[in-house]
Amino acid sequence: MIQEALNPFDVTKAVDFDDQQISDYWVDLPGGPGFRDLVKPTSPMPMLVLGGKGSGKTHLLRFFSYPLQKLRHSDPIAGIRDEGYVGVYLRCGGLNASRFCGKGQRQDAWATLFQQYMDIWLAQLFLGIASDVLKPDMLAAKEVLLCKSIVDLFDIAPPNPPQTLSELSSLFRDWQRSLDVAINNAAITRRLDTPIHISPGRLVFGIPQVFARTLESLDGIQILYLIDELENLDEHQQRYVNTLIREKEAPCSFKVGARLYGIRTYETYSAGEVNREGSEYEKLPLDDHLRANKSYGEFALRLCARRLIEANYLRDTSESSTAALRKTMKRFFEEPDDPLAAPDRFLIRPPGQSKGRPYFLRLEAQLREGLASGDAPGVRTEADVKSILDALKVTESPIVEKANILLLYKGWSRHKDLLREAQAIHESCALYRRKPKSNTKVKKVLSHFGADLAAQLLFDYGMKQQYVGFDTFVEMSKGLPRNLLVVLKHIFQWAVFNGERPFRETAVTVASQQQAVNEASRWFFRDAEVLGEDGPSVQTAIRRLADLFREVRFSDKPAECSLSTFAVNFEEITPRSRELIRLAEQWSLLFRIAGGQRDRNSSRLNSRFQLNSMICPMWDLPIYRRGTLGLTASEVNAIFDPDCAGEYDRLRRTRIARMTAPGFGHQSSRQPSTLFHLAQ
Amino acid sequence: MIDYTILYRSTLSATGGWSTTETWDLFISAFNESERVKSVFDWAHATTKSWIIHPEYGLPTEKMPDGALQPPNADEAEFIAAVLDAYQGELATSSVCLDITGMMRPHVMLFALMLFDRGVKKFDALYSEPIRYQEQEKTQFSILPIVNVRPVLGFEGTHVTDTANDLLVIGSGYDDALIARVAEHKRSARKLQVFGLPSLRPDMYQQNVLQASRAAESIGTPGASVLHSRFAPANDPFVTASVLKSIVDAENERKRLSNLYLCPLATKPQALGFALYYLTELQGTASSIVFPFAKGYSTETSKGVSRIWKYTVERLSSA
Repeated sequence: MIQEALNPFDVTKAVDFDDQQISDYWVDLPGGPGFRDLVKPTSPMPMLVLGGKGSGKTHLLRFFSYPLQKLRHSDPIAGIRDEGYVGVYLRCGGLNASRFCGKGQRQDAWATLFQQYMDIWLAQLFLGIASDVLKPDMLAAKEVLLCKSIVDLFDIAPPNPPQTLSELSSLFRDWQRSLDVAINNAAITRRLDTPIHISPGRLVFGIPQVFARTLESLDGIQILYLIDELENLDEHQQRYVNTLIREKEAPCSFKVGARLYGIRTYETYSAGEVNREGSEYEKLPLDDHLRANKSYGEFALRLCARRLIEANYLRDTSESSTAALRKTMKRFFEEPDDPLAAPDRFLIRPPGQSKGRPYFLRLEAQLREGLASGDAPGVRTEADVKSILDALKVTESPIVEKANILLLYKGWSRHKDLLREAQAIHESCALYRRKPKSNTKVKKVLSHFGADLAAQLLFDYGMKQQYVGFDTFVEMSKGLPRNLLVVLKHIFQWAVFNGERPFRETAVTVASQQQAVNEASRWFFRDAEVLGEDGPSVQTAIRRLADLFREVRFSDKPAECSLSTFAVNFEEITPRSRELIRLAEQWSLLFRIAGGQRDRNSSRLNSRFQLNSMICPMWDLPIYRRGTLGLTASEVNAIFDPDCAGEYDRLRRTRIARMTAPGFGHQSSRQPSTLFHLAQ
Repeated sequence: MIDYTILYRSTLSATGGWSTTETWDLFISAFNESERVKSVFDWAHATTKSWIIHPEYGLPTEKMPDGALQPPNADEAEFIAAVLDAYQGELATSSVCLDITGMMRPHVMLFALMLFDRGVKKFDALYSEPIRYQEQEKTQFSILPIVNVRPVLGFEGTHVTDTANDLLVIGSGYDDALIARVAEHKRSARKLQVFGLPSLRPDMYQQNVLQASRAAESIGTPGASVLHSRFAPANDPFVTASVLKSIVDAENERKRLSNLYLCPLATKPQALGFALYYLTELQGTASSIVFPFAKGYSTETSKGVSRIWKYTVERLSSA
């Protein structure tokens, strides 16, 4: 029975799931190695699980935590033995770690206190699991011995040593409370008086060791501390986590989840040593991995299918082939007609739109301007202008006309005789239309710039760009599954609002998909605002970059096709530009493309960055990456470095002028009109 | 059973000419460029009148009134301690009035705590309602970026390791960026929003909900839905405290809360209500008041004065 308008994508964050839902909505990476192989929960090597917001870190870490192990196994202790580890999950947000600073106290006093606090917190978490998993008959006569051995870990024995795990937990709870009171009162009293009961790390490693040597059932089991939301700890606090990682003792290990911007230091308190990747820890860059993984599309498909199954929109398809599932999912979304295959249906003009062709009007005006200024080679009379226009016309197919015009602009920028050029294009076009598979310039231009020309057509007619269809949404998510869920959530909401029945018998209309994608796009840009003083500067830089891409895309002769990527010599740009690009990467506004790009002239390897596809709809940019715009250091500085921003308009105009008829940048006095402004 | 609504509130003339019965030993107000703040300061009768300067307003020195207190580089606890230390009289036996209209919300709350801590049994708080905000729902109150999200000093709880049923109650105002940030900061907690209803002016409720909806994705499900929201009058701290109490009691009844976080982002009277509820019932528990601290705040966001409230704040006990 389907509940009316139940949005299967309503929950987009793992934190909003309870343990059962974490289990129910779990989807593993299909094919090849799954998440267990990536996380390696039984490996003693600590791991940093890094990822952008919504990459699935919390879902992943919670999947390996004890409450989920318990759900997976009817006999928890047998299950733990079978899996070889027990996951102790700590959410750093729960520590309220921002309390451990200021209040008139020295930083080292806070650092010491935090270490003690975190140890007591982890000890409580471990004891909570131990108390749950170990039934009284398993503890039998060993409970007293366990408690005594743990008390031996303390620097100062408590006056009434605990005899049971419950009493031990109460003792830790009391210690924690006394620390809380001291921490909180310091704000008012400006004093910090706390007794130190334990040495750093003693409880974290000592208690599991006591259990392992006292209870046979836990011997050989790895105690896996799953520390999530590390970004909530400051640099000093992270140094302590790093120290625990460096000084780890069997049977304990760590998996630490953090956002890309969340790692503040790799330093430790171990004589100032720095943790090194491959030596003290290994790194799992989760969204990089998902982006590069060939199975990501299938993973995303199954993730969404799981939501639809749980909400009763789909029958259980876990056994269905990927092809069948993809077909089902595709059916849920209306897709627009191919501008080449169905040019008449592709351009359904808005009511009141004149039947003229805006792009020919523009070309005509440019030819006349060129005729007047001498910037249109080979054009000597008004009749020449008409001949050129006639040669390029293909009434039945606007997209082919756009291809013809682009070819003319290309020739024009190289000072070719435009009359002859138009005639050659006319012939190439005729051949293309007779034999579409023949090797013609028109075919080549359509193959490279087809998506951009379609986008220009929509723009010319004042129509919205089309970011629709399931595959598009998967591509937009760029390895961050939450983005996909957010898009689908908005699609469901808009479809219902527009009176449709999403994920039922009819497909969600293009209009609903467009509205949803635009909303999700704006949400992402707002949500990705960098915390701190540099936040506004990063957002401004991204707007400038996107504005530039947009002007290039909709220029007469775009330098590159499907543009959302730039390359630059990273060594030549200012430190401030490098810092803001780094922040934009950490907040998933930009993605660094592995391998960079070889400079055409110097063969130097430049760094390459792609704009996150989630924000591309705000600027009518493509979500699929093809071309890369090579930018000079000055241009990148003008975009990213606030101290160089004064140069931005001039440099942008200069670059766009090179792609604009009739001058194509050859006359410095000629300024192209700026057609595009901020998309918002 | 504590009933906050028995506490006394009244209105004062919005055009001045206050009776001499409205006289205090100490009157403290936060200076900004709003007419509703400056007029009230002039109308109040007090032996000692103190302007305080919040650096968040970024006021140039030439605009500051003479003798204003501006503790430098101080956290909110140091700031308020410095202001109270500057008072020459015996605080515990003095009549004290705070005009909370221009004060930062963390300071409103901490003033209450520190006045009680220093032996003040009750104090008056004034609040001037605007006729409208300058740009309706587009009015910019905070100046981004948000530099920190943390517990307000003095309102830091003793939390527990179990985070399975954490709750964040947000008094949602117009600043959707603040709502989103605090929701992100406590992302593992379930969220519940309290909106000001009745609002200060009839159109403000819709503006408020419209703005808050921009933070829906950060709030998550189902807290983002108005259907799951709660309501408290925007101008009544005592009913706000009662509403909070009923929310928390009901939640605990349903399933014992593990940790509770409160975050007042709407009007100053509501912030006072959050503080009153916390100081009366939550101190020493697994509860905190958290706040997203922005870089600054606009000094002038409203037009006119429609009504001036006087709240007499006392710490109640269940006995």
